[in-house]
Amino acid sequence: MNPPVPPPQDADKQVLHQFGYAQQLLRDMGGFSNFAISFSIISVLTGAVTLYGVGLNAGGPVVMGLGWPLVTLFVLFVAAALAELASAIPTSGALYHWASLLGGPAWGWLTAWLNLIGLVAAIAGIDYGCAQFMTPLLGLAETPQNFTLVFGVLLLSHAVLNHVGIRVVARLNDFSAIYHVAGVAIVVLALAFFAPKQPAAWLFTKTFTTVQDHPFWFAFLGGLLQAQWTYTGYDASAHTIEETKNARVSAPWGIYLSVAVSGFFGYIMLAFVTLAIKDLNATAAAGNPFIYIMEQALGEAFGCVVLWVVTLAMWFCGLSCITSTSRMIFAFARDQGVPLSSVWARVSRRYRTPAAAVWLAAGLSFLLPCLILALVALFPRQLSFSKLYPAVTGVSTIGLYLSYGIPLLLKLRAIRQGVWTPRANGPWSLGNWSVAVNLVALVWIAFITVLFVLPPNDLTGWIFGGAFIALLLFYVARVRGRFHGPVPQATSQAGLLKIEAEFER
Amino acid sequence: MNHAGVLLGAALLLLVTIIAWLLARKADHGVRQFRADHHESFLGRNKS
Repeated sequence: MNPPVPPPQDADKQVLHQFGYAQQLLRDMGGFSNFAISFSIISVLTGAVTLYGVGLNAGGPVVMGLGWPLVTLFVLFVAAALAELASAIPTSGALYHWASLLGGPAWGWLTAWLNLIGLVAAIAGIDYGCAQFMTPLLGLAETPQNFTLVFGVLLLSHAVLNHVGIRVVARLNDFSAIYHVAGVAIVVLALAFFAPKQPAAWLFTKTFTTVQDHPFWFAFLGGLLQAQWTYTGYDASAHTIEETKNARVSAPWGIYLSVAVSGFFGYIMLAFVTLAIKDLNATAAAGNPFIYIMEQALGEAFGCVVLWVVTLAMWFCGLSCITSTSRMIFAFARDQGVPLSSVWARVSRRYRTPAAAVWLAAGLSFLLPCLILALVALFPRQLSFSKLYPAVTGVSTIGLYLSYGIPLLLKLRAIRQGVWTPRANGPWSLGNWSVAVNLVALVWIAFITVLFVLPPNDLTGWIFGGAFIALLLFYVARVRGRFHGPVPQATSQAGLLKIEAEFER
Repeated sequence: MNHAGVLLGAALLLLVTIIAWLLARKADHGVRQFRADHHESFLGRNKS
């Protein structure tokens, strides 16, 4: 007779206990909710829309027609490689925790900070982009002050919702996933029925660039930032893994499918939007080419409705991004990785959410555009906001992808050294394909890291380089020898159960 | 040029679809294998 088998919830808890952590967060997310949070953060209605002008100006319609599937192809490899790790080590520290276990505390610390920089820059990019869309829709003047005000209110709404519970956020994320699919459908159907269209071959053959002093192929590659920035944040499925039921299977599928499904819907949307361009030169020169296309193709009133659809999708995207970032901060602070760790690791007893980390994520994200605006005000001749915004998205992309790359590299090293054997794999495993998939993912990450700091994106390189050097100096001065990586919350099962009992009281 | 561009685009879209499907199939096989090897206890179910 077989011994009694624990219910799934307990099985998840037992796996978490094996890593020395108590089940503090409420495990209430199903597989769809886990997928939905990553799908909402990727948000084809946010990244692909806010950076549409960047892609169009860099390489024209072929950036949408060929660039998007090219990036999708390689991101699928990155997602699959990360999904494997999530299945093997299902803790909310995710990338940070994987790097710590595979390479030691220094690698873990660096991964955590790169991830954190990327996530905070992502929230700033998403919510400020949302504010830029929402401000004129609300009838407010398009001034930096109004953008910042709307941006602050958006962040506040996200922080409050994340504070009061994973249940409400999970429901909103579920709705967000459906909303994104419906939103793409609205954009596509509106353009399909009411907009004049270029021939389909235009997507694959029409080259155009406003980038000077560089050959077209180089400008085209720079335009891949649009797709690459869109495909960020899907590590959210791993960050919320301690709140997901049947975590070792649901979360990896969440990571992988969020990329695959976004690739499909993003391509359809971009194809229809690009084919609706009437005047390529005028569109590229517009302040916001996406809004310009919508208004030119659908008229101002209908275009306005579609823009509201897109803007609300951005709001959902920001909401999910705060959820993910706060879990990352919580997990890192739980292991004493950030200054004032004991504050940021606090969990709300009432809502069982990492409330302090939620507010820190929102606060840091608010400060970033404020800092940029202050710099632009101080150096108006050297800097402009229109150049700094893509730079922030570049920093976000590089920070996040480097944090994805480090654990993948360390895993390959561990396999080579014989430390990582097939027994270490979780249920979601690529088996004998694993090494090849990891290698392709790493080559792509190395390629985009170099690509997005080369001119004309050199500003990204300077900002990221400065942040990276500051991080290294901080590590040498204050962290080395003091940070020990993941710290078990208790050394015995009884100790972990005691912690859990306090939250369940 | 037009013809080559369209062919390239179609080939790229086909490649992405095939790779996405193959990776998903491989992972699904991994999950099934893990269930078989671990008596499905990680899902809280007994192997019959």
